[in-house]
Amino acid sequence: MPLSDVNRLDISFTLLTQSGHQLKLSLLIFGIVPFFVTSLLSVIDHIHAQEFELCTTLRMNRWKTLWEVIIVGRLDQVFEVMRQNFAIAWLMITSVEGLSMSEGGLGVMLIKANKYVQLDVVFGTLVIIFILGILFDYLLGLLRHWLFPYTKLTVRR
Amino acid sequence: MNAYTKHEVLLSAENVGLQYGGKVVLRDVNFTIRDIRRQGINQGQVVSLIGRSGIGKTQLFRILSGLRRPNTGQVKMDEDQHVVQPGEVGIVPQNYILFNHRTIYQNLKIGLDSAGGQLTEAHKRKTIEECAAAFELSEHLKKYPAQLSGGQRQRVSIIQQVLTGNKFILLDEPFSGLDVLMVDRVMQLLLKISTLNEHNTLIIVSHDIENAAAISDMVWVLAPEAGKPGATIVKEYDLCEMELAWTPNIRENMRFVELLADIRRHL
Repeated sequence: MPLSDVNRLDISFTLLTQSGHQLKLSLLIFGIVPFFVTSLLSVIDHIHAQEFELCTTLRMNRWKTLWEVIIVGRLDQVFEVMRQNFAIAWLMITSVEGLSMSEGGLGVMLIKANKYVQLDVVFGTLVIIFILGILFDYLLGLLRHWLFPYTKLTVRR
Repeated sequence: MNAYTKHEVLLSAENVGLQYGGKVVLRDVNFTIRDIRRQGINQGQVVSLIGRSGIGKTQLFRILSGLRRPNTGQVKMDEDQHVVQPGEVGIVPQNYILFNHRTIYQNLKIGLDSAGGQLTEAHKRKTIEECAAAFELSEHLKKYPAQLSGGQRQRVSIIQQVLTGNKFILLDEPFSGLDVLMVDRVMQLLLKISTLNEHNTLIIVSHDIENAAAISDMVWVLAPEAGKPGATIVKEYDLCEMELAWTPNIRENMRFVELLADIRRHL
């Protein structure tokens, strides 16, 4: 029987990692990195050229400019990117746990319940995933406003 | 009569030209700004660069600040007339760019830190607090830029450049988007900045002829010449010589009204 792309990915990662936990983490990171990197590049790409010119007129060197405009200046947006990626990771975790079942977890519960047509368990698990996702997102939102108080001044309420 | 004398050249442009993909934007821009001295006052220089939208004012603004190299010619500054380098001329862009993640105090401190020198933290705090008090910003020092109005942000942006120690400050459309009362306050602020130091030189890039000319001692008109590509300074008005500089209620002066009409004709 020919191998699917997912099988190939699973086998490659299983060979590269030493435990079920490592495998799960590696698959999650593999799935998240493209979203994270493209979102970060978009944040940097949208920086107004005049911010760099301001740094020049304030006689900042390149490192100070990098620190002030890109690192510290965009930390709140990076946090927001992380928050959005956490949501993607949270959705992905069920698929990843389905690929690496040795560690158990909500994804494993969902797949097993589905296999034995325990639709009440499937529904209950989905509700738990949904509520936990909303809760984590809310907590990260609070943390963002606490860490970066200026953020709430610049975003639409 | 406001007695004055003109001394050494502070800023000059020699045959400055700029092309954009084969299209001539600026051509043969030449000017000099000299140190003006008046008895009993630190008289800085205020020059207005007037021109229609899209004529190349912003490009000349960038060239004067050293942020853009012209295709031909040079801009020289200070008594030794060295070629202007990025960071030697302060700029206040039209949208008053500030560091949004820093409070107003921290934004001003960045300006002061850039000035070099050996000030202690306590001395820096005192300087910033004095400056904020002088320009009615004391109650806003702990706020973030997003909490300020456009006029307040503009004041912070100007003071940030002053604290940096830049004697030359370029302002892009400083009267744009402000109500009549705010325009008057900005004009007062600019006059105050210009008299803080003998060598302080403000260059106002604007299409608001009346307000810009009312506080200037020199007006340049940037416009195209018939049959020639690109814009250049077609007319220079020395308001000191015309006895129209540093005069209160200048707008009510008939000669000033005639001057405005003449500037409009050259645009």
